[in-house]
Amino acid sequence: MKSLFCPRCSQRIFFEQLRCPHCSLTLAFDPLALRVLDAAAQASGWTAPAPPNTFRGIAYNCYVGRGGRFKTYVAEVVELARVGERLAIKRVFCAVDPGLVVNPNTLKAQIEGGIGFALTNTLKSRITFSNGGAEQSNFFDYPLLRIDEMPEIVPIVLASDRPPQGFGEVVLAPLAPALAQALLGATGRRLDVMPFPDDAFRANA
Amino acid sequence: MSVKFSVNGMPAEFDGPDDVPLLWVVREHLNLTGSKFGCGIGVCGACTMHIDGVAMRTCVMPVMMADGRQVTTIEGLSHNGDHPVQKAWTELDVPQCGYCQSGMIMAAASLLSRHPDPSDADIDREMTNLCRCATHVRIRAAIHRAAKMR
Repeated sequence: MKSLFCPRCSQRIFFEQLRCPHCSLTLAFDPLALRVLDAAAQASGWTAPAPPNTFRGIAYNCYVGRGGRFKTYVAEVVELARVGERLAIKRVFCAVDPGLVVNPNTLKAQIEGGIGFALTNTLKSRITFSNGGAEQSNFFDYPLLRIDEMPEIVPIVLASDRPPQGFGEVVLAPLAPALAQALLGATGRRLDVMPFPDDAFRANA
Repeated sequence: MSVKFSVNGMPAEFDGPDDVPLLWVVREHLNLTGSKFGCGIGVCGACTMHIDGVAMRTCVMPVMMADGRQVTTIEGLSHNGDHPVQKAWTELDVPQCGYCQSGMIMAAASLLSRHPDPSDADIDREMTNLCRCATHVRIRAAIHRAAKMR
């Protein structure tokens, strides 16, 4: 199946990484893929058992852009913490290999903003259609993520001798499957549709 | 009806319908375009100005409500862009696309005038402006940095 937008777009990555993370990792037997996954895993303490009331998910994507002209590797770990009766998104670890980094400061800004944008799409901003048009009209019925919902972000930028690749929205795709995996571990509920419903964040008693 | 107020310390007057939003008057008649039109319903905060020193959303504020009051826009927040919030914003490279940022800076300056050393909870409560680029991590860091400069 050919995607109009990107061969490894958000829809495909969501199901691949959520339903079959381990087989996709084996299939994607690429040393650079394993390198970003290792970096995200190491930074987040993935190999040790999660602390009490903490739940984690991991996902990976190789973003192939501009018709195959660039490849940027991304791995993310989402960490949920139980706060009272709710699960809160506490931290997101994001390891990237975008080739040679020209401006590290801007790259980190793109990681931070990209994860905020991904969370907005994962949790909010539902668009529905009727009579040939979108039913939402403004920010009162199309909410965005605000500052109080922004988790801590831990960027990990890997050194590389590849030429500069692409960046920008590359961190978006792994966020939803990593979060869905963490929620699956915390509540046993599988999520298939974005935006995730608010009650998916209700902690099990 | 004629409305008289001050904008960035200069006298301003508007003679027209008294329900025109203040944002329109400032942008279209006074040609100060640093304050932005975003949602038009007071939700996003791109139009934030200070009215007598307090952050207000001016896309839903009729100009008559500014009568006799002091309006400060991003252009008048400081003489040389050296308000602590502006300095912290520059140091941390907060903006991405930039559209919401004048409103964010005005909201942050207003917050700091009431809470000189705000907690994260103060920031969460007061900084309700929207940012599509999600520059929130740096907005929070810049507010804490600006608080330390004062």
